[in-house]
This record gives sequence, C-alpha cells and structure tokens, in this order.
Amino acid sequence: MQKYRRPSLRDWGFALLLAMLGALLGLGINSLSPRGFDLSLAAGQVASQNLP
Amino acid sequence: MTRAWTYAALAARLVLCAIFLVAAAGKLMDPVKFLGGISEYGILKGWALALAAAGMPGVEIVAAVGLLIPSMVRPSALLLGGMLLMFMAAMGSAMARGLELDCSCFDLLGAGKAMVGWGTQFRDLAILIPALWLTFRK
Repeated sequence: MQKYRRPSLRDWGFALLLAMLGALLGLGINSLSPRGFDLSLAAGQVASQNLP
Repeated sequence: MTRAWTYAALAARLVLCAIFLVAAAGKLMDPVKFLGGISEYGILKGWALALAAAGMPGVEIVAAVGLLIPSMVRPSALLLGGMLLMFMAAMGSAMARGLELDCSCFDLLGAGKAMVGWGTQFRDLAILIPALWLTFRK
C-alpha cells in the first residue's frame, strides 16, 4: 500500500532554490550563447510589438 | 510490491528528466523563436517576458537534473509540477481567448508545430501526473 505525504517546508525551499539556480543558469547560457538575445533589447522590442 | 513502486518511481524520474531536457534543448536551440512564441500568449510583457524566455530553459535543466539526485527528487518534482500547472494555465488562457498559436513546448527541435488546444493540455496533464506522484509519494 503506497502512502502519501505532503511536501515539507524544506521541499518547498529547495524547489524555490532550484528555480532561482535554474533561472540564473538560463540567463547565463543566454548571455554566453551566440544564439542568445539581448535582454534589454528584447524587452524593448516586445514592448513595442516589434519582435524579431 | 514495494520494489515495484521503487522501479516505477525510477522510471518516472528518468522519463520526466528526458522530457524536460529535450524541451530545454529545443528552447536553447533557438531562444529568439522561443521568445517570440511565448510573447504570442500575450501574458508577459517587456522585461518579464525577456527574463522568462531566457530563464525558463535553465529552470527546466536544473529541475530535470535534480530528478536524478535522490535527495532532490521531491523538490524537483514539485518545481516541474508547478511549471506544468503554469503552462496549462497559460494554454487555457490562450484557448479561452480563442488564440491560435504554437505552444512553443517541444516543437522547436523540428518535430513540427503543436497548436495550443486540448491535445497539448492532455499531454501536459499526462506529464503532470507522474510529477505529482513523485512529489506526494512517501
């Protein structure tokens, strides 16, 4: 019989930590990759509805 | 029986890890296309959109790799479940507004377009179920 348990505060904390680490990794890859885009330029283009 | 559940959990971890690594790879192959894809949802704008488009593949990679580390399975599955619920909400929003757009999920690897609809919702639900199971199993 499988038993279930709710995620603990530690699980939520580590999930948040992983999300932040992942976001930093994504931003790092984007800035280092030749295929990446310029964040400020992209933000401006999206705001003006002028996507690449 | 316990051993069967252990193997099932291992299989679910490996499958989810592969799915999200493939999804992240597709996004990293063409970040500009992914940026354009999620802008079509009309939910995020400006900096929020640019940061989400740049950061999301990294979050997918970290969460997928976390599934391979025994002590990180529950937080990783929790994160993936949350992301899947977010994707489903975004697609539901697009469906409710009658938008016809590419879901920008996996198709960037050249598998062809997957238009947002009940098919993509059920696909995400099918991925969400093992993620929730890994989150809540003892």
